Parts: sequence; structure tokens; C-alpha cells
Amino acid sequence: MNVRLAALALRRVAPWWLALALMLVGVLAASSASSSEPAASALARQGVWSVLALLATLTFVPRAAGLAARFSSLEFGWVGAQPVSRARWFGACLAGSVTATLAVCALAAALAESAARFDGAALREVGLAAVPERGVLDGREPVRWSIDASADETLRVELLFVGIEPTAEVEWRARRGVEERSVRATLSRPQALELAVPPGIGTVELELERTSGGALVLLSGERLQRLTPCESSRSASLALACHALLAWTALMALALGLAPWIGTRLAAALALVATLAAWLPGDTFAADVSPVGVLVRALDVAGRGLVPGVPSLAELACTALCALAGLALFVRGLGHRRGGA
Amino acid sequence: MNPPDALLAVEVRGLVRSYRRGFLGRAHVALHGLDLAIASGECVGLVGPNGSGKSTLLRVLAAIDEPDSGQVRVFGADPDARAARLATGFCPEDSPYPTDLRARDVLALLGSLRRMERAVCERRAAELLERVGLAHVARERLGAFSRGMLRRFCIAAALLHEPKLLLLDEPTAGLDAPGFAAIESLLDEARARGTTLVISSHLLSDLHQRCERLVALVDGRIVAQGDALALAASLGSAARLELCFEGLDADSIAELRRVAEARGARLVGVQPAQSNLVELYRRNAAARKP
Repeated sequence: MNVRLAALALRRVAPWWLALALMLVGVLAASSASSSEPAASALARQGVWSVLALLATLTFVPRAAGLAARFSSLEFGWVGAQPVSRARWFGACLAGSVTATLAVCALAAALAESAARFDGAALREVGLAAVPERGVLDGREPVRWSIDASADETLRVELLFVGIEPTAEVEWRARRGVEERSVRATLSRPQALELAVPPGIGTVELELERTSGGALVLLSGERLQRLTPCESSRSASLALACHALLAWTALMALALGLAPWIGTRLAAALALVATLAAWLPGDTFAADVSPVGVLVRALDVAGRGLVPGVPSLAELACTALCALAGLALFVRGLGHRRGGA
Repeated sequence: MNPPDALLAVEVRGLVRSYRRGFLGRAHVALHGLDLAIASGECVGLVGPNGSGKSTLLRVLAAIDEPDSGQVRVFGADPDARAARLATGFCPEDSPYPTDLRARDVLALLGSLRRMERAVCERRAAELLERVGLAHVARERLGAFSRGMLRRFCIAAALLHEPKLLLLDEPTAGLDAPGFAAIESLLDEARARGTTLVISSHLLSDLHQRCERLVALVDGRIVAQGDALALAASLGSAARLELCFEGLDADSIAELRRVAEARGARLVGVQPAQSNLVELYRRNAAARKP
């Protein structure tokens, strides 16, 4: 990789005003988060990261596309004559662009953590497990299902409350062999239930039941969260930084690849359209695999006071696939530029 | 007679290159089956009117454009090959270099892309900027340069890695007299090192003193080639020759006119040479120094 070329890419992708915008967001967030409560801190962290993720996505992706479009049109007269392979050219462009996002991630983490005052222990999401499709607690049959989980994990489900009556009492039980754990709660609003996994090995049998009260209780979402203890809630920013970096890398690689073919605006727009998949309801593929989808979900997890999980192999593989697609498009795009009518 | 293949810097056979103007526009053929061989160390001038295919040929040789068909070899290799690109220096007609970078940063970037050692690149860049009269603006962005300054910069950039083949597209366009003199001197040195020069210009006067061979292109085809006098001779009585004299007074010029007329020729005009301007600038600059 050519360091000077990467530096040129960095300089062109990172606008000077972005640092000022980040500082402004940080000052606003720090002045608004006066409480050191875990929930307030989680919301402050989520707020700073959400604004920065949106701002950085709308800034970096078009600028990365502009970088490639400029090399393949206005400046092709010197780019095309250099003894450097187009793959290395792409590598340097992507490295420079990713370095810009890395700096933003570091700054965003610092700003978010200065806004979030609580730094105590928290739970980190280590995985998701399916819940029954028809998760309605109407007092007749308990909802039963089983999952695989290790002994140090805590399980978490979110329950919705349909208020025909003012309250409902629910009990959630987990059984593994002879060991059993249970938790009871009286619901009067949507609420999450957390339950420690019983010790031992093997499948964990779960049972969720409405024990009294006439209100309908529904399992929210399609999955159950598996959590492990984490020393500090500040790890959330590190996890968010990792997901943001992967999401931006994937989007910028696609923008770099598309720009030599269709120009800056269309390339940026097309790459950004890919982010819409993250908001498709019920699309678990987008939420688990697409780096943008995972980032959006991680922001949601952080807002609930949890620490998002580390990037999964599927997310890393999807990012690598986007980078390879961008590389192939970029190499072919610059090659196409040399061709005649 | 063509030189043997082993000594060829450039070998072009049946080169065809076309462009499409606009997305749905018709294809325009810029080069029609061109054949050309240039010996290593030779200086060749490409002449022809606008749109004759001179720049296209240079862009193909510099691996910026790809031929539609035909064979192109630069020192025996495909122009796109790394070895050929490293051996080639190209100065395009308009500066394509990043206008948001400083002059010395662009040269440093080019040096690193051409795998030059950092110290060597810095020394060479400083020397070239000095030679083309841009040392005082080395820290300024190219966007602030005038057309003439950009021209000088492009030639410095093409010479940075001391290429074995130097391709110059209209090198003197927009240059003032001192710039012209600086470029002339750099090209003389390149020749002395054995560099092969291919210079395109639509002005014959730019080329005939330097180039051993002129290749005339019209509509993408070679219509004539040879030395300057041979090209002129091919026009018969319509040919014009430009002679350069020093130390002639008005009487001597009148005498020359009589001699020419006596031999059936005609002295068309008398005008001061470009080098007079260089001397004028030099004296003025010297007079202003404290």
C-alpha cells in the first residue's frame, strides 16, 4: 500500500469541518446528560453515537465516491500512467478512507463517554436465541421453548403489555436437569425480564407464564438476548466503534467501486440505499449480517443500557465481501476508462 | 530504414483507437491502423493539425488509453506493464495533477508511486523545481499556478524518475521565454542521457531543431515522415524555410534578399528570434537586483 496515496485519500475524504461538528455534538451531549443513572447514560451514549453515525455516513460515503470518480475522470491523466496496480490503488484509497472513519470513531467514543456519566458494571450481549412464534401469555398455557446457553449467562426477554386490566403477574422459569431458576414480575407497562441461566450443561428449558391478572402479555421481538457480565458499561462505545468502522468500510468500498462507472452522486446514493435494508422489519439477515444493520441494532442495544456484542464472523465476512466487490468494480472501472468506443 | 527490434523504444503496428463522444454518440476513430517504430535514443516529433491523433498516440504509449486493436510495445513490453510504465515519463497537454496538493507534495507522491528512494526523490524534485523556475512556489498548491507554471511543473513531473522514454504533448504551449529556455535545457540533458523523446506539437518550429525525425499525422494516419528538410522538400516550391542568423545588420539582410531572389527564392519576412526575449528578461532581472 502506498502511504502517500492513502494520505491523499484521507485528506480528501475527511472534511475539516467534521471535527468541529463532532465537538459541537459532544458539547451538547455533555451539557444535556446531567444524571449518572444507567438509563440516562445509556440514552446519552446512544444519542451521541446515533447522530455521529448518521453524520459520518452521509459525509464519508459521498466523499469516498468522489475520490474514486476524481481519479477515474479529471485526474486519470496522471493516475493511469503510474506504475501501480489498480488493486493497490483501491487499497490505498480504502485505507485512507477507513483511517478517516477510525479517527471519527475514536472521537465519537470519547464524546459519547463524556456524555454518559455512569461507568458501572453492565451486561454484554453475546448472542440471540429464537423465541416461540406465538408468544402470547393469556393465563391458559405457559409459553415453552428451549435454548443452548452457558452457566454464566443471563437471559433477557422484552414483554409487551396490553392493558385490559391494570396489571399482570408473570413468572419466567429456566430448568437444566435438576437445577432451576425463576423470576417473577408484576407488569403494568412494557418491561424486560432477566433470568440467570441454571448451572450445568445441556439444553435449557424455558417456561414463561402469566400467573395472575387479566391483561394480555406478549413476547416482544423475535429473539431472546443472551448476556454475560461486563466490568464497565463504557465498553459499549468500543463495541459501537467496531460496528461503525465495519459499516463505513463496507459502504465506502462499494462507493469507491461504483464511482468510476456511474459517477459520484449515483454511486453514493446506491451505496446508501443498501443501508435501508437495516430498517426492514423482521429481516433478521440484515440485522445479523449486514454491517449497517448490525450497527443499527447495536445502537438500539446500547440505548437499553446493555453493551453490544463484538462483531460476528458473519458481519466480518459481509464487510470483506463488500470490500472485494468494491475492489472488483474499481479495478474494472479504471480499466474500462482506458478502453475505447 | 527501421532500426532492429532490439533497439526499439517504441513499436506500433496497426494501432487503432477510437472514442465515443457522449453516452450515445457515434464512435470517432482517432488513429487508423498506425505503424511506427522509434529507435532507442531517437528524438521524434509528431506534427499535425488539431485532432490529427498526436495526443491519442502519446496517451496510448503512456498506457493511459488502451488500443482498440493493433500491437504497441514500449521497450519490448506492453505499455501497461510495470517495467514499461517505470521507463516512461509523460507530460500531457493539460495538467491532470491534483490542484489541492502543493507542488513538492505532488512530486513526492509521484516519486513514491514510482518507487523512488525518498532522499533521491526529494533531491531530484528540488533540483527540477529550481531548474524550471518553480522553487519559490514549491510549497504552494497547484491550483494557484498559472497555465505556464503548470506546464513547467508537468515537465518536471515527467522527468522526475529520469525515464528512458519521454512523451511530451505540446510541451511549449503557454510557456514564456525563460520557461521555454529552461525546458530546452532539460530536454538537452535528457537527450545527452540517451532518453528517447517523442514530442508532439502543431508548431513545426518547436520540433525541427531538436528532432531527428518528424512524423506528420493527419486524421489519424501518418502522411509523411523524415527530417525537417525532407518534409519541406516534399512540398516542392511551396516549401518555406526559416534560417536563424546572429549579427546581421540591415544591409546584410538586404544583401540576403538579393541573393535569394537571384536564385528564384523569396525572403518572406524578418523577425527577431524568441531567444532575444530571454536575453531581454535576463538583463532586466540582473539590473533590478540590488
